[in-house]
Amino acid sequence: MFVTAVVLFTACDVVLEEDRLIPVKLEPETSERKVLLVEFTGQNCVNCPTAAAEANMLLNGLPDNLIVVAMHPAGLGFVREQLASEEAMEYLREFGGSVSTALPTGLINCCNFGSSSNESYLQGYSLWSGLILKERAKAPDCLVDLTYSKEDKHQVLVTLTPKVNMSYDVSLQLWLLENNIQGFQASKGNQYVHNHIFRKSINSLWGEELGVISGLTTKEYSFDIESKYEEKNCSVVAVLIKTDTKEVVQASEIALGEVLH
Amino acid sequence: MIKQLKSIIGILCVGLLMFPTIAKADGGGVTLKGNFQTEALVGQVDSVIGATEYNGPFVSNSYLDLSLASQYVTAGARLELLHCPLPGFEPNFAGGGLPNIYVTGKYKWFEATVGNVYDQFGSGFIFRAYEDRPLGVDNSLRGARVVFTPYKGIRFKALGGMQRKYFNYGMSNAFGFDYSQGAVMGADLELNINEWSKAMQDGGYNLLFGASYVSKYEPNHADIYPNLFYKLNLPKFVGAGDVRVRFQKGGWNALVEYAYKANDPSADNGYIYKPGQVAMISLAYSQRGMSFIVQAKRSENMSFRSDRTGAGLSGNINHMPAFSMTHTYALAAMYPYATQYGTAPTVSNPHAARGEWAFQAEARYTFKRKTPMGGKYGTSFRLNGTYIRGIKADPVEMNASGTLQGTEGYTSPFFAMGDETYYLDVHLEFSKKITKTFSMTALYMFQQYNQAVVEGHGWNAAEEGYGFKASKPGNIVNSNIAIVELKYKPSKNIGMRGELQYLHTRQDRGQWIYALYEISLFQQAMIEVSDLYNIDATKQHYYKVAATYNWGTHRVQLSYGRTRAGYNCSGGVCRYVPASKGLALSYSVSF
Repeated sequence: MFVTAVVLFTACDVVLEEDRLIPVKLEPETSERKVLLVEFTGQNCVNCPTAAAEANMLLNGLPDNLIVVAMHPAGLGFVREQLASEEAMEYLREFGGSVSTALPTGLINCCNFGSSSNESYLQGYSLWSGLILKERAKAPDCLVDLTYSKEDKHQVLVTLTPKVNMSYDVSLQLWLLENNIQGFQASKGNQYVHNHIFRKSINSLWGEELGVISGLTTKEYSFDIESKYEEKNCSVVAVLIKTDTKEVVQASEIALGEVLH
Repeated sequence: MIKQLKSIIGILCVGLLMFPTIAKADGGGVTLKGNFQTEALVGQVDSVIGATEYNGPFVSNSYLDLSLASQYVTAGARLELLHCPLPGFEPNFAGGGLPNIYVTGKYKWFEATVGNVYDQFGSGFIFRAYEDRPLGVDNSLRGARVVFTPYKGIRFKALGGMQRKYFNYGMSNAFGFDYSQGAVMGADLELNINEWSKAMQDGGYNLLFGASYVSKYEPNHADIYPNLFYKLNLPKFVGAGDVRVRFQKGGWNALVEYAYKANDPSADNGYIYKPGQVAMISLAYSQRGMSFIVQAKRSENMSFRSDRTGAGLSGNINHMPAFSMTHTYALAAMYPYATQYGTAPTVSNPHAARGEWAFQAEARYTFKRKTPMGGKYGTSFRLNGTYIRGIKADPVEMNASGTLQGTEGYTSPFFAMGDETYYLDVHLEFSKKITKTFSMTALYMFQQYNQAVVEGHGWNAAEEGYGFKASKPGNIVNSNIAIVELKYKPSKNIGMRGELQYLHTRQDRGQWIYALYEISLFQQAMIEVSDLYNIDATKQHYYKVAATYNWGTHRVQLSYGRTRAGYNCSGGVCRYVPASKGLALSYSVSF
């Protein structure tokens, strides 16, 4: 009993106030990596504005290294029809989600942060900062650049520039996002402004399979935007993924209007 | 593996159904005991009530408990099949395997368990490992526990292990157990002073002193950043202590208990370093025909998890006892209160509670039979009141990160209360047997329920699209509830029961009415029909028809109907249950 008492009573760390914050430096100072944060959210979700605020904080701090996509998976009780997407639900299911998934939650580069026997893709927003910084620190295997033009249709040219010898199959996803949508949000009322909303995939949800790319590769896509979406508030996100694991290699975003967000 | 498990469970079911008595073998002083339970649903989509998708066409929660007991050794295991669970359970709840296995040896004053352990220290303020299937709670420790009772009046326990957190699908962990990232260890000492004093025993005095200590070990598996320039220095060990005194004499019973938890930054409290504490005092008296209890509790920042980033119902090390009554009548349970452990106000939910002041009092009195008030058979009254309010919590200055993460979070003078009522419930219940075959119970209840604090959002009928004439948007739902229950038992083999309930409110979804009729036959079968109707906002019926049959230790129930979205609460802990509709089957057997 005495040994138990000694062991237990010494098992308590009290962290003094001056020791609680550990300063960190952005490592590396500049990075070409663009991390994709897919935020699963819903208009009936009470805590989702807090997660959105966290995403905005990260965007403001890492404007060149972070792309945020907000998906409202159709079928969840948290999600309303205005912003719901069937493709978002399919995307959520791919990474272990279901109709019972509690929101908010997010994917960081579609990485599995658990193990092969205990997968853990979906992460709470208090963990996003640390995980995004870790992903940002990794040099990208390939750069993704976008240019946009409009004639009869909207046209996006995607340029892929491998930085290393990529021996794995890749796929290229192209998604349409919309910003500045006013609508209902639980705990915020009807005047809430929704941003980074995933509207649809342009070249199918899981993209176009490109196989193994060994050198500079360009792909051009033409598409229409339905009149229900405000063109000037739209942007296109290109996501290069490993075809087998769906892990993000690199992402990029371009505004179709004047500003990104 | 799942198919094999299903086959095993199928074989076991057939065996159990056909030969329950054979399963109770008794040879060589070894007894086999067990229990099988399954709840299943064939769900239907009903978009009108919000019943959309289910985890599958046939969803079920099934459990098989087995134990072998001898004079000195008991061993047991539980098989769970939850890979397509009923609606509303947390996503990671799904899985299957043997999450509970144990062996316990007892000899004279010593007991040791290896495997899964359930236990509670005192009222559970710093440690409670338990299972509650309707809630989906199972936070057992897998490790070891020893219990010493070396002398009369002395009991010492020590335990430690890793806490269960859902399931692990991997073939490398066929026992189906997802370990939390760290470990929990604790010890508890209880001294029954009266055991050492003949004078106290002769006087009928019981006096108990108790003390406990729990420590969780959590290595830093995830860095927490208040912003991009700082990360938190997180404590690897978090300790909590509890002391208590219980005194009992005759019909009097008094308890005073206090618990303290050291700095424990977590997702629940917004990663602040303020210690948590809870103090409770309770006084009760009972004698034949009457009883009363009064109790008060103040708690703050007492969320205590083995995974600091956790949420929901998993990974809680402790349990705060409920001060609000868990009602069984449908409309009295429409707005159930969930104990506030202490969470951080956020952008989304500025009403989140840092803690609570809770008061409860209840008095019961039975007027004896053959008195003017008692009548021929006696009359019982019960008056119960619960009042829960927030604690005063003033935020401190933000630190260099520009947030409250890493600070003390707030200041809160011990006796100061916050501005908001969280919950108020006053009800009077009257029960009377009118004749030999007829009895009734009537209840009136006034309730105030702070929906913003408990559910994270207030109500706004217009925003929800409800057309009824409601008060302007707000956080508090004020309800007046009237309930009448009648029972008629004309013979030994037939019994009938009827309920009529009415809830009046001008907030949230407005008025509700509920009716139930139930007939029981030959003490084995029961048929029930009920309907819950929302008069104002949705004008929807939530009907249900059910048939139940008992034979021996078997119980089976088949029902069909709609279930509204709401909260299933037990002991102050609540789980959100989405709306559903369909055919439900419930079966259990013990042997």
